[in-house]
Amino acid sequence: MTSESVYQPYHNQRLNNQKSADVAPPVFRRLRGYAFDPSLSTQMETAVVNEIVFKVPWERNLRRGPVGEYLEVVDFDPASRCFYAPVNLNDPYVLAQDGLEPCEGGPQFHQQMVYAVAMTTIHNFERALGRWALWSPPKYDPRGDAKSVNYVKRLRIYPHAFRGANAYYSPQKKALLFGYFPASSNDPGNHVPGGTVFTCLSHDIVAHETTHALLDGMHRRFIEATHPDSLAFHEAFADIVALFQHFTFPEVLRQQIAKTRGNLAQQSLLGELAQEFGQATGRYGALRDAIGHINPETKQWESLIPEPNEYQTVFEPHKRGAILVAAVFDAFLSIYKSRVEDLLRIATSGTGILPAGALHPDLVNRLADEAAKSARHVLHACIRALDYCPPVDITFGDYLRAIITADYDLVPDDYRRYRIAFIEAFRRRGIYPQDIRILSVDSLRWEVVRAEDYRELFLPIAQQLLIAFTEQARYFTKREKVYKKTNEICAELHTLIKNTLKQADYHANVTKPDRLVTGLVLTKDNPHLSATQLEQFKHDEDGNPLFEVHALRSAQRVGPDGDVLNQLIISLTQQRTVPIDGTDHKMTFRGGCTLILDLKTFRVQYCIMKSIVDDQRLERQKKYVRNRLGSSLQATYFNRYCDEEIAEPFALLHREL
Amino acid sequence: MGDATKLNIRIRMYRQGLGDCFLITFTHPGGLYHMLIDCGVLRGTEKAQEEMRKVVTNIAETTHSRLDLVVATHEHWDHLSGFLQARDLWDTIDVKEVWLAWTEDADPSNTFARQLRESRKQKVANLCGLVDDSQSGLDDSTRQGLTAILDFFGDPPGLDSKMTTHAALEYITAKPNGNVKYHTPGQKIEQLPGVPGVNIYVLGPPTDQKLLFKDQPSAKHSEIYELNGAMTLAERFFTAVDGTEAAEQACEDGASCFPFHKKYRVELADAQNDRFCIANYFGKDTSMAWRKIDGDWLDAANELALALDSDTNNTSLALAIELVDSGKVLLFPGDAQVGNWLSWQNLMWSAKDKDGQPREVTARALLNQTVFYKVGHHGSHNATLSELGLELMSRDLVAMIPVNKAMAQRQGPKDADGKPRGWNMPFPSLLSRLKKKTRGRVIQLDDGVPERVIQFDDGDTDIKPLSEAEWEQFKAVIGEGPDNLYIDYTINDA
Repeated sequence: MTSESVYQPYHNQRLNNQKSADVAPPVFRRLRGYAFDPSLSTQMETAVVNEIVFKVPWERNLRRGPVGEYLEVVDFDPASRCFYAPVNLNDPYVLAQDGLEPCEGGPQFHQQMVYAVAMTTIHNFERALGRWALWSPPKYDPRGDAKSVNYVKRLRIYPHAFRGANAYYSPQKKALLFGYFPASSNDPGNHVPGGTVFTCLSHDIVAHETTHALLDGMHRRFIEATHPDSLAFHEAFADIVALFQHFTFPEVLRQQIAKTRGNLAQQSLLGELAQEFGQATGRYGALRDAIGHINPETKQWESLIPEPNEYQTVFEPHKRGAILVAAVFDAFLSIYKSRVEDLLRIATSGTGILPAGALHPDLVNRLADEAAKSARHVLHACIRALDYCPPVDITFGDYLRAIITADYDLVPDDYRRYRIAFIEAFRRRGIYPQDIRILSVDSLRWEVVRAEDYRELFLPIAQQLLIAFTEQARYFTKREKVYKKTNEICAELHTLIKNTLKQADYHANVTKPDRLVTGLVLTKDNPHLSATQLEQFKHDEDGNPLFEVHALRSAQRVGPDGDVLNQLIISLTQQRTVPIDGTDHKMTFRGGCTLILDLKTFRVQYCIMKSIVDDQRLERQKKYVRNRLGSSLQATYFNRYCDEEIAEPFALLHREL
Repeated sequence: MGDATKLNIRIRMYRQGLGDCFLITFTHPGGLYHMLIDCGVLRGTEKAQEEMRKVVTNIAETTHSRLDLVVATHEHWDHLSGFLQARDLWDTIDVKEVWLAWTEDADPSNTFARQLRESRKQKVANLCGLVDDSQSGLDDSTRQGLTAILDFFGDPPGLDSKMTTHAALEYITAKPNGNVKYHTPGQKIEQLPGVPGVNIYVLGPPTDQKLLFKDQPSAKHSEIYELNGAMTLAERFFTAVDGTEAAEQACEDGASCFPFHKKYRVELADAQNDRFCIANYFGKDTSMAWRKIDGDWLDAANELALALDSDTNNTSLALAIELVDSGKVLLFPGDAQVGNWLSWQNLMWSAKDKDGQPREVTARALLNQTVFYKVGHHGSHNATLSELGLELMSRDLVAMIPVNKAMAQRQGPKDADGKPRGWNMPFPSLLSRLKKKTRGRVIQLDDGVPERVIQFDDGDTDIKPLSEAEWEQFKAVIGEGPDNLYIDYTINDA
């Protein structure tokens, strides 16, 4: 708004110079799209809920494309050797009708839908984390010019990037590429046989891919496959966000609750991901079913009974990821059930048996509200837990601990027993964190840092710097500023730490002989470091191993009781180059820690670490890398060991379906 | 154990390079029976023709120019090239019988087989066209990778040369004057005329479409490339490459190969002058080059090539040769991949044991008795099933891997510094497992006579390596040919 925007009563305005009545820009832009997949629009039953209106935060300078602050949609179709004209979402006719009408045959609607779903996902993330979403910096690409670009403002989206039954996030190009393909002729599901299926029109696929990009922006080491859980985690997390994002659509929720009579554990559209994708390639039911699947022989839906040893025996990334998704969904169901217990008691007068036929609409609405609330809580809990994860080598066990700890900090009084729900769900699937055999909130919460370890965590010396940063950060209005300033502070922190290490008494007073608090070895004479290991690091001018201030983030969260939690999250990492026995390849082994700093007390609460000199972890990673990618011809003919060599890790991962 | 039927089998692995060529000689009381399984070497091998001629000369000498049986497992150059490269020599060799898989049956009544072959031919032609087209936008690395895979089919059709897998098959099929058998798994048990006490079971290729196209050991029925789906995708893919009006009309079912109607398309030529496209895609300089996707869609070509390769491998004729007296089994699966192996589980035959009593034979039983395994697909990971395959084989197992590691290392796309990535053959953990399973008795084509294994790679102490005496026993049945021409392994059926 301009500075002259002072409201004047109508009788004071002269008609010739009248500025239009100063109306504030809208908060949301309404855009129509598919809640699920276009295939549902051709069925009577589901058509009515499939088209919804996305409410996307209003962007002031949205250009044709659409190109905005976070995204740029560039509709280039190289396989057809053409572009498609960019849509102008600010066109009055478009604005007046809540966006273009959903239509599979017009590329402009595709651009609109992709924009709407991606922006909704980003918005959910920002709300959960309490800060702006940033994309990961470009990796060095020997073929291109990427290293000269430091800040990537916009994620690029290509809605029709190639012909294939696939869609993926490209970390190298900072882009989402969506494919399209002909529906199977034999078993096309609800499609016209031989018709075209567009992955960019599936809400789940777009949300899933956008989440990969968002997760990559927060934890850029998570795309390195060091553990069977690594890629599975990326997939599972993306699925979780897509799945629970659906629960924020009230109309759909109501319809589904009415249909399943409140029992969401039955098959419902909401529990099925990427339905169209799976249908079109000839498999009934959706691709990745969290809670059940269609038996390919009987074509009947069956619920997935959790197997406690699946986690020990299943290693394929999607199947393994499905275990995590199922666990989170299970937790959600428990939470939802406990929330609606009293409603059902009231509705059934204590008998517990609902009347036959349709449920009362009031009941449906209340159930839908509770489902939406539960879903929102679970989604936010899952997203917030990302801040409590170690910076490298994530495992499902770590993630469970992160969820519990993050929730503990925000909601000290868990009278609804959300945390128990999570623990139970994970336990049913045999997901145990490393070295923890008793699953309780206390044992799962990350250990609080001991007072005697503070000096090793550099916080006393960094105090001034970090306080100054936090003050400034409050007033940044541009994402780019946040990004650049954060990098500056990281650099300063790095120098500060290096200077501290030079102090003569550092080892004597700080390093503990029995444990490595930060998981890092920062000086060459650290007692935990052997000579061979030292050689595997890159060194600075003093011969000390290099380290990185990997990330610095602020987080502001408000708990249900109104408590405000103000935190700063700092990650420090290191890497070693280790040979893989039996081959002449080398692999990168990383370690580091995430420090969670409570800004109220300026104390480090948690130090979540992965030690760089942990031999057991190293052996596990070596074994995994040696055997990885072994089950495909890709591995035979395109011999690859290390992630640095893989150009498009997500394309490969998604193709191995 | 009667000695009236004393049988002696010599398996000769020729060492021409990365390729299969096995001469199996059965010495029985009535004489000798010679069986040849495949004869080829990878395209691009140095002095390929010379090497194959040496091999075929030796075959002629050893068999006195009379081969009782030739088996051609599948249509890949490294299994068939010798028939053309030493054609004149082959002209002088008499071949009494030829065995092929049912997938090669040219009989018009076998429509599925015909469809398979045609689709394969078409895909090869299309992929070759793509590789040769300099305008196609393929980057070098992809082109090299594709070329390497296409080498499995011999010379590209564009060259109009006679050196193609198709020609090789035609040649060998014509040799025995009509005595050609197309085998389907699970049917009758084959016998070798004149050789008593030998049963040959045909294990694959499966007739079930799903298994035929399965190259991944996943539990779900994941056939991304069901026959029709793959053809349609391939058609549309290649139409895109072609880009002409004619191609646009060409799609069979009348559906357009383009996703949107013409009115929406802004052709490249126009786009290059459009402000939006310049600002957001082409850029005024190279600063935006790293975000372009000009070549990414061609990754689908890689996928198609791999699928093509694996589908062809899966049509391998897989044979289990049983010596009835001792129950020993020799397994020659060609390059069969997971789907082929899995299909064996359902097979059952009614046979007679050595006393003439009837018995049921299952594939599992055959695997349990396997004492010799010709490792599939040059030791790549996909071609040896573990739980339902290797792990079932007997304790006396000996394995032969027809691989040339140096040659494999030179294949594949090249890295940024020009060094080829190499093919993962033999796959290290498979090799390691084979060594443990055979207790060191793995004969690799390029290495020749193996060294005694005293300790296993991963320090596993559960499996005991062979003792000196046992090793000497093993060495006693190995023979070497002159100038590294071949290596023999003899089994005495006692």
